[in-house]
Amino acid sequence: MKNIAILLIAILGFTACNNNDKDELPASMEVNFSFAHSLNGQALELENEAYTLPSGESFTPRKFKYYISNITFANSTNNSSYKVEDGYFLIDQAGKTSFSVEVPTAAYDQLTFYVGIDKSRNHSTDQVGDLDPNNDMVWNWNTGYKFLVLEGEWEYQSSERQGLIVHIGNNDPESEQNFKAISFDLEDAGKSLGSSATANLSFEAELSELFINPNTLNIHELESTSIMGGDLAIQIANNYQEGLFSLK
Amino acid sequence: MKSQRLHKYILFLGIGILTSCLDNVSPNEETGPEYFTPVLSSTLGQNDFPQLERNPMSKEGVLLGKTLFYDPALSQNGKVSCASCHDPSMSFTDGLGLSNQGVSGKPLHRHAPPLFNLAWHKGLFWDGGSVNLESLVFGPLTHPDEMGADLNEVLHYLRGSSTYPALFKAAFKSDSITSALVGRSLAQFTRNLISQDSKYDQWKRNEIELDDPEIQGYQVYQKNCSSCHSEGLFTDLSYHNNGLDASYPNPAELEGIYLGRYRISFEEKDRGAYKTPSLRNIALTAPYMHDGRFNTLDEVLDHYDHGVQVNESLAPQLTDGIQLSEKERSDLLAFLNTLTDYEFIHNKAYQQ
Repeated sequence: MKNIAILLIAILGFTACNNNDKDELPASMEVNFSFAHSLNGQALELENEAYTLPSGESFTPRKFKYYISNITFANSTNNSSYKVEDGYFLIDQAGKTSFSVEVPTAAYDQLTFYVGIDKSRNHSTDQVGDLDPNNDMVWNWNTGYKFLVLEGEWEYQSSERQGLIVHIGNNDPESEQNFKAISFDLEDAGKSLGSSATANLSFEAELSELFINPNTLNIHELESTSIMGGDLAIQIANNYQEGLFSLK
Repeated sequence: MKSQRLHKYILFLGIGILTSCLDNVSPNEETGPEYFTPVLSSTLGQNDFPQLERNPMSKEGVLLGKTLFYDPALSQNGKVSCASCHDPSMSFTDGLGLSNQGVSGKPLHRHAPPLFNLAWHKGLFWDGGSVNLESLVFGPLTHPDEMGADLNEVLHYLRGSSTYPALFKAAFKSDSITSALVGRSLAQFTRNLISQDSKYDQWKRNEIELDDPEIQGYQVYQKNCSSCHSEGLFTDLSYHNNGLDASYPNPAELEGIYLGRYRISFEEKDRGAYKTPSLRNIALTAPYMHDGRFNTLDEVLDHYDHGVQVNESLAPQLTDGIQLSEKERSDLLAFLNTLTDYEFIHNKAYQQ
């Protein structure tokens, strides 16, 4: 009888110790994402006229916004991963440029997010939160979301000022065209997760990258600078997948 | 004993009255919305009535949608409702080629389509750009030359109204009014607009007879028109270039409006292609074509007779046009008139 009591006390003691260990980190961590935007190396300010596009045009940005979604954290050692369900976040130069997600506490060294909206949510716009159609990100003549919007005015060698309208979405409901995965090696960036209850991930988006690498778009040579689909939109989407974002 | 019973009766009666008063304020709060599926005429040629799982039709949802449909307060200037361009007496179109009745007074670039039998349309708008009614409604609601609404202001108006919160609660069991629910209720109302009681339908159901010109016109229709205007819905719900123009300008600010279905699909065959409009209620829906360029059905038939512009995306059925004799033409027009559905345009359930 006595032995059993001692055993029980011992077990309780161990359990308590274990609990104490776990208490150091809560069951879930908060990961804060923030996005800063620049153009040709200068911090982006809307309505500011000081910018130059890669093909030499002077450019005044008026709008820059995009969706980040389908965020997945992964551990490349044990192949485990965690996907943020129902996570659709609108980043707007004129509004919110950060958000937070809750992730079960574990070690993660890889991160993937998408620019745009997946097929299961892109074919209707009667939705809420950041997908609410009152966010000026739905087409009024098409169904679905603009994944990324850049608007402004450009001029080249004293030409007339013209509008630049870049609305990238999906023109093919059967595919997930222009919905692009972007991956980061958190370990390489010295940002591996799992050792603290909060983590901050700061990203920078350099807008020049929309027009170069791998596809070069010479704005002043385009037949139309209203890009809302088709081949040019696909080229820009391939560009934003390649080098738009960097983790600082 | 007798007076006690009487008191009980009065008490019951009182409760009954109270309950019915409460019912008026918020119908079916206990039981939830009354879901339904419309009864279909066999003459539509459809086996079922497609609905969206996330937005099943209910009597309360349709009522809310109808209230919104006829409410000009949703628009930027408080003067334009959905019904301004979708008038029930013209099977929910407006009789104008390119309307300038929106909040900006600027003419639109497409003709307001009639609204009926929409449940079966896989693509909406003339070019099929929208794929469900729930999402489509935000187009005309917010377009600066149509209703020009700011959705945040619409929600502010609806939340502060003395009637809407109860209507939303009855339709969706929800205390919160969102853009999504505005879209869903308008979708329920418009999906419920079903035209299936024309003279043609009654004839097909063996309820009445057609006269000789009408029957001969039906044969002219079958031979010359039915490959695109398929019997039943009287549209194949597909997109064709019917030879209106040889080439299509593409000014940047108009976002490819003249390219037809091409601006949605980016397929060469869709240049200048538009959705086949239904022939149902055609006598009510002049002017004709996506831009309302033809004022009469005679002008339309003249186009098919000798006006077809040939280019690479032209519908192959129209390469040689459609030539009809004078008698064939007058018979065809007689038949087309049997497609007018007076039950539909006078249906009080669809009106304010």
